[in-house]
Amino acid sequence: MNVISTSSKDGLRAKGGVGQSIAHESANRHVRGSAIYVDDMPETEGLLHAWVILSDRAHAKITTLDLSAVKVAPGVVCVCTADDIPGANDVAPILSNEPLLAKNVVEYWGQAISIIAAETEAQARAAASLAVIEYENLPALLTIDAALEAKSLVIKPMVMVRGDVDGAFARVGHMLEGEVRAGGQDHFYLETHVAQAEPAEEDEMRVISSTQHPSEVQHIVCRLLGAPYAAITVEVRRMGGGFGGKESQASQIAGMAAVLARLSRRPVRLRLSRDVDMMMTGKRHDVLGRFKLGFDDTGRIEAADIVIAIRAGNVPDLSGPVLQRALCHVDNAYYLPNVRVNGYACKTHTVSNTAFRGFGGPQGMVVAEAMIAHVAAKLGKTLDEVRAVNYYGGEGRDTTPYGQRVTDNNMPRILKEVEESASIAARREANAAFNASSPIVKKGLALFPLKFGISFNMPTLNQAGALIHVYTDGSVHLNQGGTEMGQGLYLKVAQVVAESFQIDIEHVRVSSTRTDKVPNTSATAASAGSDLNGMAALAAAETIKARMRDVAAAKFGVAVDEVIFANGRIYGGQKSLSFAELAKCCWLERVSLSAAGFYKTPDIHFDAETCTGEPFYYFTYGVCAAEAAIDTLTGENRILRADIIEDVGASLNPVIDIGQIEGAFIQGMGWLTMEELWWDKDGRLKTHAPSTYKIPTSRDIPVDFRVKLLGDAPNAKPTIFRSKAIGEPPFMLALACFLALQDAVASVVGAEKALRLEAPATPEAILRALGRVE
Amino acid sequence: MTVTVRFLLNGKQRIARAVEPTRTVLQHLRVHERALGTKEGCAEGDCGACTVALGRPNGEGGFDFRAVNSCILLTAEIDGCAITSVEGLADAEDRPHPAQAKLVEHHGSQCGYCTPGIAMSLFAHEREGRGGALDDIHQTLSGNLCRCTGYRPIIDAAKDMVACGRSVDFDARERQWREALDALIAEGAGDKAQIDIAGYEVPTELKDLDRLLAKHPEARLLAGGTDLGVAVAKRAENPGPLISLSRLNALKVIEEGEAGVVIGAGATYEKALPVLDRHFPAFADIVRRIGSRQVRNLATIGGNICNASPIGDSAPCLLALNAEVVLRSVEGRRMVPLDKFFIAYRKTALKPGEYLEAIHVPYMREGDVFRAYKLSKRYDQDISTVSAAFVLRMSDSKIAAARAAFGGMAATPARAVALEKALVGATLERSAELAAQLGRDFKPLSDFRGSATYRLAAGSGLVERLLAEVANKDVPTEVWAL
Repeated sequence: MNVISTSSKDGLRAKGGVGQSIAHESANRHVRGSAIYVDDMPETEGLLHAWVILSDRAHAKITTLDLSAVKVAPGVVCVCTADDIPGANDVAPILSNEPLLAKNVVEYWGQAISIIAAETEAQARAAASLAVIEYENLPALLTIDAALEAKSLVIKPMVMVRGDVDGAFARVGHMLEGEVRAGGQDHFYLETHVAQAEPAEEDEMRVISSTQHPSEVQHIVCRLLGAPYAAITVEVRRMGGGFGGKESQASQIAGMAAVLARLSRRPVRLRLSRDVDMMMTGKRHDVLGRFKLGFDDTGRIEAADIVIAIRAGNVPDLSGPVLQRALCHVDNAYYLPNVRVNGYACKTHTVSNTAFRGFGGPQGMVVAEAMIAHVAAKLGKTLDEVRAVNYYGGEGRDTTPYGQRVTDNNMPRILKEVEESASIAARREANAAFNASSPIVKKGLALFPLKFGISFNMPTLNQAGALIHVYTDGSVHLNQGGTEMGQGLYLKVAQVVAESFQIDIEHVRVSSTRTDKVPNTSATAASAGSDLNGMAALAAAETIKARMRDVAAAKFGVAVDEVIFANGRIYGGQKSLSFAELAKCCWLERVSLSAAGFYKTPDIHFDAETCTGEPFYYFTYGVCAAEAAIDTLTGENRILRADIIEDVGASLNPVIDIGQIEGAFIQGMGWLTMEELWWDKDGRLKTHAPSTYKIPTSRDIPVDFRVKLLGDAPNAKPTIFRSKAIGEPPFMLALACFLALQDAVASVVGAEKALRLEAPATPEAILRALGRVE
Repeated sequence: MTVTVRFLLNGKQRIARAVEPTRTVLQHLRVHERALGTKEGCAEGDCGACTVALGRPNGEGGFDFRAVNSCILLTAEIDGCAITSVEGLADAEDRPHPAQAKLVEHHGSQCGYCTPGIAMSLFAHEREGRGGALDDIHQTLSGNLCRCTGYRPIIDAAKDMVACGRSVDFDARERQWREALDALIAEGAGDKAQIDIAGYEVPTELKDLDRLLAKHPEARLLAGGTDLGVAVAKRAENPGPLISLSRLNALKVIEEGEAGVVIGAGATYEKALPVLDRHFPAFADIVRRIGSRQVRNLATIGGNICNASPIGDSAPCLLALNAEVVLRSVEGRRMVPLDKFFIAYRKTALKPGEYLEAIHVPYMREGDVFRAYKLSKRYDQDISTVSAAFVLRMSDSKIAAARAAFGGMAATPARAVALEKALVGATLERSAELAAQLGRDFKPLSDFRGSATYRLAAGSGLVERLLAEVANKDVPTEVWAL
């Protein structure tokens, strides 16, 4: 199969092929408000609206659940508790026993207890307030520390070991112990969770869900209803943001709508209010890292004994894979010859945390960078000096703790480019001079090098399908298993198809993602959307193209390999046809113009039990240099400048990739500098709306923000047109912001005390690290 | 209890009947008009996905279009106004407004859910004739959260839109729309007679308001509605009988008098800004950080005072400036110093049947130093953790007199009396000891915005900042100045 871009006959390329910077496929619809999200769908005849009754205790026995007033409230059609669910009350994505509705016991504040469908949303909401629920409190574990002490875990501990850790500690010159913490993060997709379920004949149902994982929604709806997968079709055209929050969690909302639809035999729409969304659904795992390090005079780490504990919440959900990815990224860009990592997913009586852009990677890297910072502080060296002796590379220093060789290391090149283009050395000097003359405001500057593994850790998930129809007017219908949440996946895959057929992209129409067109899909996650689905679509396109080529060869009277697809036409000998004309010929000749494509990532394997293998098809790299300022009187802080160079291989669409980098970086900056999830002593989340939970606004972005793609760096692996994944990696580049703030704090209290800084680095956290708040 | 509301929607005449007073404009658009471009992202006026442009007739045959949050604006309040939603931006040939075209050109949308609201904020920016200054663009976008793009392309789109100049096409449309609205008004829009059932009253004279309140002291006054709208939309509260102040022009007047500025209780923040900039620039800078532009286009300083929140941002400035409030009822007027107005947590000196008519802010004396600061987790559109305002009078490089007021430190906004005393006679030497006097004035609470110890430490830090700023203008004292 020829996957290399076809150079066109006359030097012109089809518009919108790969590598071209073209706008998001829905951009015109976005700005006109005509892009349709689930809640914008027509209100079908008899549509009911749903509301959810939530627990207001963190951990308690339900002693009374009296819904009699709810049931007779105006407009109420259906009220459902755990006992009313037709199938199994279980929405676990991987394991089991993760209830949709709490039965007898609630395990977090905000847990769903009952669901209501009524003629209007206002009626459903008003009815919900009539529920009488009484509780008997049970002891609640609310923090990682409390859970660790109680040995309360949602899954068994994970261990990753390489080398002789204890032996290495005996040999090293220096040792230290350290600790680091980073908070959780709400996804704050602008579109809250929403789904609509439309019952059809017998047990059949169509579910429209704002989900990153239609197949899982299908499976879980079937489990809740006791229906075979073939009876349920799940569809999603677009999400108003996902970020991982609509990977496993969407099945709860879709499941609720489906159960109510089954019970009422009417279509049901459930759109969570912002508050309910933030109370009921999971977030990024907060993390506690503890480490003991052995290192030499240069700062080279010889031994590392690490604990990574994440707050899983009340059920496992995706915490296992999240923890696994954290373990697989605790090395970041550094070679750790002798290393032991113990991972704990702590069971707490708080909402079950879930996937969020980076999926454990950010948490692992928070620990990695804290290790570097601790060593640097101990030896009185800079972060960059310590990093320099620890980077992957050199004889025998190229294998990760889980046993994968780092063979495509672009880090040295990117580091050098950033150091030069961002004038790091000169700016460090300027900042030192500034700090010497500025008693109140202090500046800091730091680099952060990123290495991130691409592929789902679990090899099975690295597969994808696509379905393409070419119609006789030359227009192309593209359906693939990935979902569109704003990241431009539909566009990138359409570009792949346009490139393959050598037609302008306006002829490629991407349809909604549906489980009845492409079955058994993986979540659109792990940054792997275009890698996987782009390849599957290319396979489908190439299948059709081969058939068209045969027809053209016969028509032109030339050999098959003399037929060329270029810029909307097909050439052979002295003759040519438009793509539409050839499509029509194929139909006349009774040649199928429809094909499914499939792809599985080659060469990957992983043993989750031993945490060993080669789980990643390749690594992606990036470097950010950030400069920050702090106010030593109030803790206020600001990111003044960020310089980023990110390795995206041969970009499928540079403007889309730039957008992903900028957006991910600002989201990461929010995580590390301002977004604070705050629970009271009874386990109630008090920051569950934008009035109290602050994500970055336009003013918060770096005053000087420079983002570049690494030039001339096609992926060493034969990925889709040699591109690299982009969704998650740049999120972690924001660690440079945190480190720059820490550097500014260090300019006042010294490097060791600056290690006290915790993420998010809110004004209060900064003053605390400065020692001005006890 | 319903009302009839006459308004224009994207140039089309609308007579909405049987509107419940609690129906928000967003609900009206989405449910009753099925105009689905306008989105709900939070139902509390914080995310801006619901932004529409509210046009009030101006004196030039067009409209004063302002971005507002439709999720917390009650439909009854748009009687006699023109609403532009994202569906109304494209021209007759379906060509996009520059706000839309530039967002596409600069790749300013990803998931697209916040985009209609952002297009509307940019549209209002263009209609208001605002320029390309970065600070102004940030203010325009301060009430629009985007979780995908990182804002850079949106800022670029805004700059580019401004550079392209005013939309002549829309100027023409405004004139047509104005004729349509005037015709509708001639039929009775905005007429009190259209308010057909008790429970939502719209007085047009203060004496009517006096009588209404005397008769219904339990009724709630609806000014900008940016708090009440949140209670209705986010918490589904029934506010009970409402008296809308929307037609009381007497309450919206801002006068620059002999002794000071008189701010009508119904004047919005945005309307007050030019006057504040002239006389109390530090107050104006604080106002520009209250809510978002959408909020400030509706919210009133009077509402902020009567709300009596301990973290209301107007109060510390007005306390430090020695403002007085005019309280009015059917029995007449009385003047109360603002520091006697706040009685306890969310309790004021207002008696039943009484309302705030105006705020008197005396001019500062020549040479007085006025500074105001706000600390929050985020610069724009966040609620203060601590806020502070100071007026100092200097004499021979010593402080001769001081007024200091804080928000977020006690159950009400309050003056820091011990600190004021300690400041008198002090030099401008940076003094942690002096700043620590704050601990004698306040015992703040801990909550999700900040711990008690942070509030005290940072509050003291603001005193140190004050002294440093007054002493030496060359040293940076804020990260936002960089």
